[in-house]
Amino acid sequence: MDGWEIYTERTISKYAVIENSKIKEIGEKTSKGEAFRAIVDGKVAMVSGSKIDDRMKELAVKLARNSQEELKEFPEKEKLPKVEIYDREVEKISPDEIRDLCEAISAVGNISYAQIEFEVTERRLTNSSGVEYSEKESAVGIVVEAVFNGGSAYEYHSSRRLDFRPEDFAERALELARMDGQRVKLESGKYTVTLSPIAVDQLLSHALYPAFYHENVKKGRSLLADKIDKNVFGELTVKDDPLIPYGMGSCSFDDEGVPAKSKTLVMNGVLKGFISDLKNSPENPTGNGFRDDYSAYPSTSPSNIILEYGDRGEAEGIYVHSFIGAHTANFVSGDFSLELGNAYYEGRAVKGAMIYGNIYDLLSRISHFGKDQRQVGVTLTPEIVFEGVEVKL
Amino acid sequence: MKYYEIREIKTYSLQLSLEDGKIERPRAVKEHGKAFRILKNGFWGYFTGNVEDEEGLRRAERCAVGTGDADVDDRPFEGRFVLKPERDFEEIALEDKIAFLRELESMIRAEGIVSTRVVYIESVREVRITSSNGGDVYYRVPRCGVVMQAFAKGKTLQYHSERELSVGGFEIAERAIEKAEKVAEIAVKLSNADSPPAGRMNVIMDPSLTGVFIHEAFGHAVEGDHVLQNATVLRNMIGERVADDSVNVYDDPTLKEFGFYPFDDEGYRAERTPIIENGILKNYLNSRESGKRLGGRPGNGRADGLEPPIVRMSNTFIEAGDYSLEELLDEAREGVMLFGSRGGETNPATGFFHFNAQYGFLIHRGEVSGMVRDVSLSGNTLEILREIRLGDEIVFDPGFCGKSGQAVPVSDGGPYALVKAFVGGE
Repeated sequence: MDGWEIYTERTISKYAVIENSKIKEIGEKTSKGEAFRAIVDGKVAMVSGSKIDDRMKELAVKLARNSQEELKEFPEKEKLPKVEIYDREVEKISPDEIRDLCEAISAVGNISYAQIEFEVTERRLTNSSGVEYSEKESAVGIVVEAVFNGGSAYEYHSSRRLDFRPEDFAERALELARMDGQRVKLESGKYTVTLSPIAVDQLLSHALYPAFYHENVKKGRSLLADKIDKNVFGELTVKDDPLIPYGMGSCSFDDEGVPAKSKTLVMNGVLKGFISDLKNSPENPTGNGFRDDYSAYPSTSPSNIILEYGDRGEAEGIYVHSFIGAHTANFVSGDFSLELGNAYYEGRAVKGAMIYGNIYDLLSRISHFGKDQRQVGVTLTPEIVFEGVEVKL
Repeated sequence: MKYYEIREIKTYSLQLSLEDGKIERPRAVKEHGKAFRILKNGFWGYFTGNVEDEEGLRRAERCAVGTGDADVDDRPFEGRFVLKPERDFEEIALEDKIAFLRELESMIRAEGIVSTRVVYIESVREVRITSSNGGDVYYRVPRCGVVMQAFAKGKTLQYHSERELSVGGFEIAERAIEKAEKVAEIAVKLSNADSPPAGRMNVIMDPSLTGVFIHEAFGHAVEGDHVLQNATVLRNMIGERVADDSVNVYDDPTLKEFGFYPFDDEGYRAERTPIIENGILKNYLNSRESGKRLGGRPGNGRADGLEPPIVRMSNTFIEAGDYSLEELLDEAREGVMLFGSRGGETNPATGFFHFNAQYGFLIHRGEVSGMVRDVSLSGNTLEILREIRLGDEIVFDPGFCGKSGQAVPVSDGGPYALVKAFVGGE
């Protein structure tokens, strides 16, 4: 064995479930998972589980001998940046306090389903190159679905701290569900469309972000491949920044021991760079090697994507809160045809409508940004207003 | 304390990926854990962790701090089931599995293909569930299979994938040989295909898409938890007509397809559930809780790992009708014929669904003509089921179904089917 790495994740999560405006379940999940990666002759393999014993390590070596996954070595120890991602209050919360928060959500009424979760995770990474890092992070998340007279809607939010009122999101879901019952008929055509931060994250996570992955660039799966220093879309600026205090994707090192750093991917519409894990860019990893869970290989993923644009203003035209089936957008071509989930026009729901287009064209049609930035998933953005978007009924 | 369950799970899995001809990211996972739940004062307390049973139950009870109207059908089952594969993958050398993947890869590499991926998966799930009233079930089920994907560059960059996954051993993976050549052929054609027409039109869905339709657009709407949440269009509809006379829909975990299980994750014996018979809604799918509260049979409480069990489908299918494919094309005259699914989503509360097909063909004067790409399909479930015409042979397609952040193996089945729906493209 020429190199090894042990990644450990310990999680304690407390959660509650609300069904039909009544809290019905509170639970606590504790877990510990370990992953062991071995390098043999420049090739790597991984085993993982509740506990890694010698037999599992032998299996890793056997898999590495048959592997063609190249990895010369694990990163060496470096000085890490400091970033705030843990709040002790999240760890301390009791079942009784969670029940009280849920009662406030239930009191909004017409809540078909909601879940609130308080989670603390400790990541630990050691390797044969001398790395020994660990970091503790906290997260609070809520998902809530409301139904009202044949209409339905959902909201979700997460933060590192309980710095929001969960019932606000229940109220917003109910407001959208109320509108959803009142239908307006639109003609097919070109419209000004405002995408909420949820809709922006849903669309870009599937239709755009993978095009920034060095792996997809290398494998001919990205239209951005030969566009460095060229204008790719309008005036938009896109950054990947893991150092924002309390950002959901913030960290001081990625899941394979590369120190976190800020990157500008697109500056005023001009492509400046890509993101990568260790494997796909061993000379210049960007600190974007993340594991979906402890048993998954690190792969490229954004940390916090920040979208910036000069002009700010109000929402206009058709307001799209969410899409249905955003994962069907095709990042290889940038094409999308998405059914609107909750969307409204002049206070009444637009139903059964779809928007069509190509993400590179759409991002050249930005009119302005909204005023309030919010993080949804990996994306930090205000609402975005686009002009001339094709809508079909 | 009214009722409790202890669930102990051991899983093993191996995944080998051949990416552009290279073995990448080989990985093996071995997990072991326990989940505990307690129903007390109509309220659930839940705990997961590797602790002694007494400690686990105590910690679950510590979470049960509310009062509510939760309840369970607490019928206990005892039993043991071990699924024996034809060819046990644990007895096949790693090198032989890799050689097999290379053979598949050579079959999906063709002119115009710029990138390939072949993934081999084997897994074993071993579960024991005991309950406060003497229930004690154990089962061990292996699963195996292959996913093949090819990217082609023509007028546009496109991909096509096929998969062969089921309960059983290495014999399942070997069946992928029959589908391999088709992967390259379709990807290349697709890269030169045009955008589809848009609007409401006649659509013939292939068996795989019909299966996804029945799963996404209908199956989720009969899940008992959605009924309790007041979040499905099918609430209070048992005994009502919801589809054309010719429509029969079942969920059957006892079929040896990818969604097979002998007992569900609440220790309830699996059985076939009629959902629609002769167009009439017969049953919802239930967990122990929703079954008790709605008056139905449990057996569809499933969990991803140690997550709490929720109401899930297993092998869900719409039975064959009596139209041949030629007759369906003749009935359609003009429209599109769509194949395969790239995933979909549905809103059981409103009946709207949306999914993307892998590819399609135009239908002109009852004949299949040019290929189209990036096709999506949407509509309202109940409207479509009222006017559906069903082909005469059904096929099952495996997949993973996601709900509340939990993924479980399922399969969907159906015949070719003619419907009217909204088709979209670029």
